[in-house]
Amino acid sequence: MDELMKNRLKVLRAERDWSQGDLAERLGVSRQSVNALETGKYDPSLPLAFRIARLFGLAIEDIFQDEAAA
Amino acid sequence: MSWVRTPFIRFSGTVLAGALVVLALQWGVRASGYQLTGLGFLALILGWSAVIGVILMRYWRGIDEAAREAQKWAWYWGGSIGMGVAAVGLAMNPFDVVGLLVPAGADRRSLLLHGAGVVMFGQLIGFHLAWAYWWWSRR
Repeated sequence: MDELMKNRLKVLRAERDWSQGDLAERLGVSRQSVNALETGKYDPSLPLAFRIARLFGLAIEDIFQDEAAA
Repeated sequence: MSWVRTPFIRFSGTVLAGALVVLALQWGVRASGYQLTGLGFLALILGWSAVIGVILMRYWRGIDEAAREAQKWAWYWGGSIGMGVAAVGLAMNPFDVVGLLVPAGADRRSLLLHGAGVVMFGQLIGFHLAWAYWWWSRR
């Protein structure tokens, strides 16, 4: 239950030249939360995962990878 | 001073300021010799609870899901462990802490209030440590 997912948030953010603060503002969360997400130490809720996917124009599974399922 | 604007600091500051106001009111009432009982006491408790309720609701709505997770985790682990440590500490009474906290010859009500205060203080310390750990480990 404690296994966290890997994600491409940092890469996707860097591709758009956004700071963590920029991404946080676009998602409506704090910069600290974006940092926790990027480092893979916090998994987002399903609604937030959908918001992230919509923001980057990708599917959720293109951003988050479940290591256990790989 | 951007940290002052974080919801958690605002929340803690507001509750602390509110507690100081209540303590000052209590001191004022006691100094005046007026006995606050019955409806007056009930009104004070209900009013204070309503203020705390509004602060908590505004705070909860103002934080994101990670901050909420930190709060829940910190209350569960920090609050529970802090409460346990404080309760066991009271029972074992090392360094005669009870003697330091409670005046000699205190009545049962005073003993009960001091005991509850110590346990709540332990909970709060545990909560804040756990909250800081949650964010520190995810920095």
